[in-house]
Amino acid sequence: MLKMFGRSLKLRQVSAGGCNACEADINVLGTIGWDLGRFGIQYVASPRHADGLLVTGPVSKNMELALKKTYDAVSEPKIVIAIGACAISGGPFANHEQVRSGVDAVLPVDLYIPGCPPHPLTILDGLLRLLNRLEKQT
Amino acid sequence: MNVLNSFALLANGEALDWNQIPEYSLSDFIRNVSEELELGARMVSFFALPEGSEKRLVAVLALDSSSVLCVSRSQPFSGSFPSLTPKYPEAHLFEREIYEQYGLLPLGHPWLKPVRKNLNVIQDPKNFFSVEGSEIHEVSVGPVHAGVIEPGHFRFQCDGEEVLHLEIALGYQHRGIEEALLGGPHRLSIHQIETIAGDTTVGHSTAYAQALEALAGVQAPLYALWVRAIALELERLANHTGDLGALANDVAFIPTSSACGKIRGDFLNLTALLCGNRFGRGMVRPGFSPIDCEPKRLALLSERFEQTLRDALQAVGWLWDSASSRARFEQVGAVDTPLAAKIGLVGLAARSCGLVRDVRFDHPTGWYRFAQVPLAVWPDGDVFSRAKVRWLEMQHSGEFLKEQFNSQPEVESAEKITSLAPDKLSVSLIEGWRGEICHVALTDSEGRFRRYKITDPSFHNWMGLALALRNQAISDFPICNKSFNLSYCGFDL
Ligand code: SF4
Repeated sequence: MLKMFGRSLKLRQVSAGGCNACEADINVLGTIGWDLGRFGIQYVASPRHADGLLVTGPVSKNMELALKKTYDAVSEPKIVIAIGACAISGGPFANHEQVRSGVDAVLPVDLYIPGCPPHPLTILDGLLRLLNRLEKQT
Repeated sequence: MNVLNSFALLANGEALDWNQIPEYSLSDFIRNVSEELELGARMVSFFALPEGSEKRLVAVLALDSSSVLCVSRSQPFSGSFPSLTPKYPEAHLFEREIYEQYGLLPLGHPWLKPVRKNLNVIQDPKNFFSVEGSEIHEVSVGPVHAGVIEPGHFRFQCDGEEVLHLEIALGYQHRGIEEALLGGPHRLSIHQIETIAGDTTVGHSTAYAQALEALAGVQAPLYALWVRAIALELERLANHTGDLGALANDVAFIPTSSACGKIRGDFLNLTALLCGNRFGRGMVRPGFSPIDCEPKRLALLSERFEQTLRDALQAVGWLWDSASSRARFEQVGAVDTPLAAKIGLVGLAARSCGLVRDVRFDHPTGWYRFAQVPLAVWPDGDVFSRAKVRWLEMQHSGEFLKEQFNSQPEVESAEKITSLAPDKLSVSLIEGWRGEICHVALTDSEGRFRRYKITDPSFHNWMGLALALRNQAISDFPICNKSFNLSYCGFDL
């Protein structure tokens, strides 16, 4: 990962049919209590500026096209992180005909972060592991 | 004849036998509903359900000043019905929804578009109101916005900087919750209710619990009612704190925005202290309380709460001390009182327009029958007013919680609800932090859900945001939007 993106990771978030609690705890990492920026990770407004997507929600059929278009707008190399039970499997909405029951039905996923919603610590843990930035326990 | 005779009356959180609800021919039904609306009743829910090969309409109205709800239904019919919207705009989305869900055509509806299902039609530019003129330009935003936020599509018709008209198209978060509840309660139902709007988990799950308790003829123990009220007010405090921080952020007043971002989390952590989850998942279950707040935990809760509340009031205090921030909120995005009443605003958006409207006050249930939270109302209808009402509510909920921590009732044993009475309808209203949450549940002959109608406060209030933008600078959109902070997923279901 470090080789691919150097020391910074810019992510574009897309909500696709969840309950917005995952987004809330993604946002929390940006607040002063967590200060995600110090790890070199930042949420960006444009997919053109991003190294990858943070996707939440089961991917409602109504968001499928917008999600794909956002993915296409991210330049290569790019990663996809699925956050929350919804994004992993559809969560509470799994198998509803209105949803695709998980991000990997639509895009290739590089990292799954479980929870409903995952605690901010869980999300941070996942991102740091992906970047190989967790210090080895001695 | 008193029109009220044509309705069955009930209080919030009660149930009625389905066949006790008066049934009228379509034209009489529509006439009765309009007469009642004319006399000042408020539309709480209006929906259709299938009846053999035909459909019927059900209306639930509220008489807030007498704490009464009234229900009526039409005889089964097919085809079309006369639209109430031209005279009573508060019906506009309900009628669009009826058309979308059951194909009944509201004749004379001025703006008949799908609500959340047929996205191609919803977002087709041809289907948006457009202003003509050589100076007019159109700004279209979304569904993917420039932030960590839910999807929605906004189209602004502008003359230079000035917004003449804004139309909001939603539906992107639609995941089929109402359909999934049919034939329930299923094992997953409570989890779907908790995730109608993640930031209103306690509000919606309490409405659900109350609806089911009415259908089962069960009285939840006082202890459960106490826990629900504590959790509901914590939810309100967390969200109001977050919203005031977000408003501060949008006018670049960083001290309040930074501090509130953190303090909001402190409130969520208090919710987690009660039930293990920051959003209140697992806090509320029909019939009983899954939470036992033993003395040690209560003492910790109350101690941390006092500190968090002090921090929150201090951080928001800085915002009020900043004259330039106050000035940015004043006279921006105003909705006047008659307009607010006409479009049927609810909750804090309504109270910020001077409407005295709060389920905890008008239709109290649960713990609110014993302990009252004072109402917060501000008349101006602008961004300032919506910020002010949040601020007042934070103080009121804060005082309320401090008192309630000292009035914990005894733990009583209670049973899970295992079955619901057949052929009954219950109406359950809860004042969530955004406003009135309404759940109407109807059981079939086996006691399973035949219809479960959910109305999030955002369903009533998105129109308020659209109208607040009229004749405003487009650059004021962010603060107008934050001042309403409506739910996409709660609307989209
Ligand atoms: S995983 Fe849970 S918290 Fe996250 S969006 Fe889905 S329902 Fe909401």
